[in-house]
Amino acid sequence: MRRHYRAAYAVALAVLGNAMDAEDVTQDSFVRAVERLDEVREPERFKGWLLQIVRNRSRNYSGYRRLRTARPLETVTAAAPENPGSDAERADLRGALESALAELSELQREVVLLHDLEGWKHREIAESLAISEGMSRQHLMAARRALRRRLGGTLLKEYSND
Amino acid sequence: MTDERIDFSALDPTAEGDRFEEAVGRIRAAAAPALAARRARVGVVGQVAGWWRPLLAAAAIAGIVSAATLALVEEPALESESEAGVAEAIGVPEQIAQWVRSDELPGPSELLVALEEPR
Repeated sequence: MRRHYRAAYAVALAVLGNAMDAEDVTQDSFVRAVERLDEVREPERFKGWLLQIVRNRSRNYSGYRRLRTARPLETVTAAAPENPGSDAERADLRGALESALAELSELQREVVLLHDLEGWKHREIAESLAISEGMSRQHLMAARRALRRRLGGTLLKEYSND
Repeated sequence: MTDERIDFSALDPTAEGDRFEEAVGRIRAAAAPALAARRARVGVVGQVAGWWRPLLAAAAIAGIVSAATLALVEEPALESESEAGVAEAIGVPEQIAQWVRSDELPGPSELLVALEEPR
């Protein structure tokens, strides 16, 4: 569970664009995966199978949330931080990153999060998303460019020095 | 500059150790009934798998004994059935076929009745 948690979360975050929702859906997906564990015939396919569960549940949740709130993604992701003190800075960064991620396509989000947050190689990303490694590289470049443009060099530099 | 990794650590769910452990605990608690049911199911399958070899050996022995018994018992029946089948195929009435098989001689009236029977 610990080994795959961040990858599952990255996929949920890519679909939902909101860290809190992504954590909820990730946890729910793990429970669902345990319930359906007998469906996995080949253990080496477990990771892909789990991430597909996360993707599907995130999309279902996303549809449900749209119906419930009828608010655009950016409004949800740009919510004000709740934690005081140093946690507030982290919450600010989280909010900024979420807002910047909302500018990307779902595919770009998933590629950049799996690569830069989870540390996957392009081969793994390509396999998981059924795209070529070249396309994975292109999406990563485009996503990084858009994120840097949106976040600005200063914010990213300060963030990297923490 | 697009070849440099974006720092997403503010979004990393495992960065805050306590929070992450709480999340793992929540998943474990929610998945506990499913895991227990699976353990019980795997236990039953394991027991059946343990019995599989002796069961297979017993079934093989029973099969051989049954086949041999059937071969011994059903051989005469098959023979008479095939004779009756040939008589019926060439249009000889069943009663006449029986007389032929038993070497009995029918009386003239019995023969007439047998020949008048519808086939």
